[in-house]
Amino acid sequence: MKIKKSLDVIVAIFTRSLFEYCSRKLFAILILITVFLIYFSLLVGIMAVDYEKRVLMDLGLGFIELMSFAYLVYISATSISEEIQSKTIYLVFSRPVARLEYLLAKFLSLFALAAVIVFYSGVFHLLLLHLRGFLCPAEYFVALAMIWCKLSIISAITLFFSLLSTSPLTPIIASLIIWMGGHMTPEIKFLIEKAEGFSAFVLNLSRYVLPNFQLYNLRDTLQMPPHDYSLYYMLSWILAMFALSGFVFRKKEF
Amino acid sequence: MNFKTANLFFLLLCLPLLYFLPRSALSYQSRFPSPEQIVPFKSSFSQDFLAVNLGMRRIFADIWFVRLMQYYGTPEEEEEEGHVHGPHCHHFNYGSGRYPDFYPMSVHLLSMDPYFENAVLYASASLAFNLERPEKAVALLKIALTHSPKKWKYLSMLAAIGYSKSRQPEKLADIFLDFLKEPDCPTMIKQLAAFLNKKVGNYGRAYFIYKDIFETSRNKYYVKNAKKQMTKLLPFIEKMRKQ
Amino acid sequence: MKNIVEFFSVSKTYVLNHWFSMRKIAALKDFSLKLEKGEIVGLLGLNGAGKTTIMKILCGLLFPSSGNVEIMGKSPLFAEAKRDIGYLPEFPYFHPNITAPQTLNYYLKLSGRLVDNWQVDKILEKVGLLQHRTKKVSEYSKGMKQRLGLAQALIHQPEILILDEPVSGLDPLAIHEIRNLILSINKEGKTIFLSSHSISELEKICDRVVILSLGRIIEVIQKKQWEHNPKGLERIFIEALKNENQKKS
Repeated sequence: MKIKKSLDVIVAIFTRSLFEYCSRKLFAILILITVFLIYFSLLVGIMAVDYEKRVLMDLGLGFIELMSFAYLVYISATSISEEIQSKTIYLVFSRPVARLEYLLAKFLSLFALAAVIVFYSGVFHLLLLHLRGFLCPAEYFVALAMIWCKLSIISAITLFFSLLSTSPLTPIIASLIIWMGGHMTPEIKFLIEKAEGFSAFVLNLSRYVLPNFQLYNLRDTLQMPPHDYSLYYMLSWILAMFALSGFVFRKKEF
Repeated sequence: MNFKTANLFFLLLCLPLLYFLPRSALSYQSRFPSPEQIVPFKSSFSQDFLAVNLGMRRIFADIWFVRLMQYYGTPEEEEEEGHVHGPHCHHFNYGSGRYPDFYPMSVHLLSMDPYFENAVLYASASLAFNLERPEKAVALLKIALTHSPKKWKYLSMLAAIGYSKSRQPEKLADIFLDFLKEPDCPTMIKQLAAFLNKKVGNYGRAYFIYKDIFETSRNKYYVKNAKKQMTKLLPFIEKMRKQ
Repeated sequence: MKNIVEFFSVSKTYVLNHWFSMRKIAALKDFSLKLEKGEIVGLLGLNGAGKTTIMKILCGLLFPSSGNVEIMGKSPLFAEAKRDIGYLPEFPYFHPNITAPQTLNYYLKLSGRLVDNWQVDKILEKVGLLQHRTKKVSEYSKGMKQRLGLAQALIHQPEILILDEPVSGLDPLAIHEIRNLILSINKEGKTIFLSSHSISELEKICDRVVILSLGRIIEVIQKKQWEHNPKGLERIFIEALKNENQKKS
């Protein structure tokens, strides 16, 4: 009975949040820009002549990832902080809503938002490829799923940082640095060999602490299958971010 | 849930990450070489840096490949005693030429994505057979083979360059036959294969290769040329059919 | 249970961190109060007296630095205790792109109740918003938002209503309607705990008024006290503040 009530609350906050994210003007603008960029890649594809399929696929996946990242990081950074500033959150926590239930619903709504953006962008991209007469290999869909995994991790991290700061700029900048650093984790390994002393220590630490986004970078290595522990790695990051967010949020006053 | 239980719960949720973080850090092997092995081309540093930072080496390699094709597809202009030659000059040879940046661009592109097979084949074939720089083609293929040592297409291309040097067009034509079986065979190689087969008298094979180019290529130059060659070869095909 | 809400020596200190300095502000000091079932208790004080702090502590939005609060025997630190409270903050803000019924159904779900469109319409009629039910909240005036705020506080039929400045920014007609609404809710047996700057409003509806100054209770006045005073609650309030200032000096 208690679990059912918890689930009802989580579902209510989840659907409300997702609806809010998708009904913003910025969301519509983002989808339009993504579609525009995908169709703009047609020009580059035409210049590639007989390699058009590869270029269209790669550029399309790249644009989908970049635009989704931009919107998702913005929403993750402002989702809870906006509710605190507008005091909408008062009407939530003056009710029998546990902080962890609210937090879980917010996390899930961000993952769902990532799925929605990737899905819509993917549909437009597939339409373009179909219009140009290309069929996609199965790896394409796996690459899209991996993009979603990356976005889920970064949105969880951004949401955690947003609880530590009143300004949305801090979590956005932190996420940008982590996004770039996470794609460079294999390169950091080589840099460690060249570095000495304190810089070697910092690089070593970052290698262990930063999320390894290259695990999910299937769009960069389309022939390779995903690593066997990619899914568990993603889940472990999300759980840890949820736990840290819960630890901070529990003590937050409004 | 009281605070102590909650803290324990949070700690438990963090445990899987404490296992996977070192595992990923220690066991993950990148398929790409280190960034210091990226060979820059002119002022490509900022783009290369972005490509590595955003995990978009493949995309940037695509863009560099398009640039390479655009560069190679743009006729060169030479000055002879004050007269500037351009594409309108009838003695101008499309495909051959100096194109001094072709090899550096190819090496840069390969260092961005060493697994870009079609780019390697296109560049090495262009260097060896069009630009008449087989030593550069071999150097490029050797770089590609360090990352994909068992790639039969690169080994075959090396063999083809060898046969070309020793002026054995029949053996060259046979090597290219294996390339033709691949669905993503570069059109340039098909074009070469067709030309070689025509040269050694395999008109039927040449005709069907040109027909394949005509039907599948999106490059209007190749398509136009294929149509022209098919028209030339048709009498030979009909003669063979009658026989 | 006669005492529905109890504050036991509650203190609240805000810690403000700024670069390398830290400032502590004591917003509430040793606040003890009991609310009986069915009564209307008002909080009266100047700006910064601690009225909103008390209400937020009661709703679990703030945590006391020391002391305890109980709502029907449970601490508001736990979600269960808030099942029976309805809170109206000073400036209620809602998601702008949905209608009033959607808003109320959302808050019903958060209160652990099922979606009930009949109940929603009944509450909207009570607060005078039924004819605006199809409009989005973004199209509402300030007064309409205040009414919607009251509606969301009532929708799940709580035992205790916590109203922070319920008539703030409303026109006289709206104030009259809200006042009558509060009295009718109280007649149903609900306990009401409200704060206001408007002394006349508190006079008209409260059974008891607690006067605060700088986080402390300086006086608790029963209804009959200001009814018997020719100058009313205002006089009592001003004198209480003057006495407090004299004590300090």
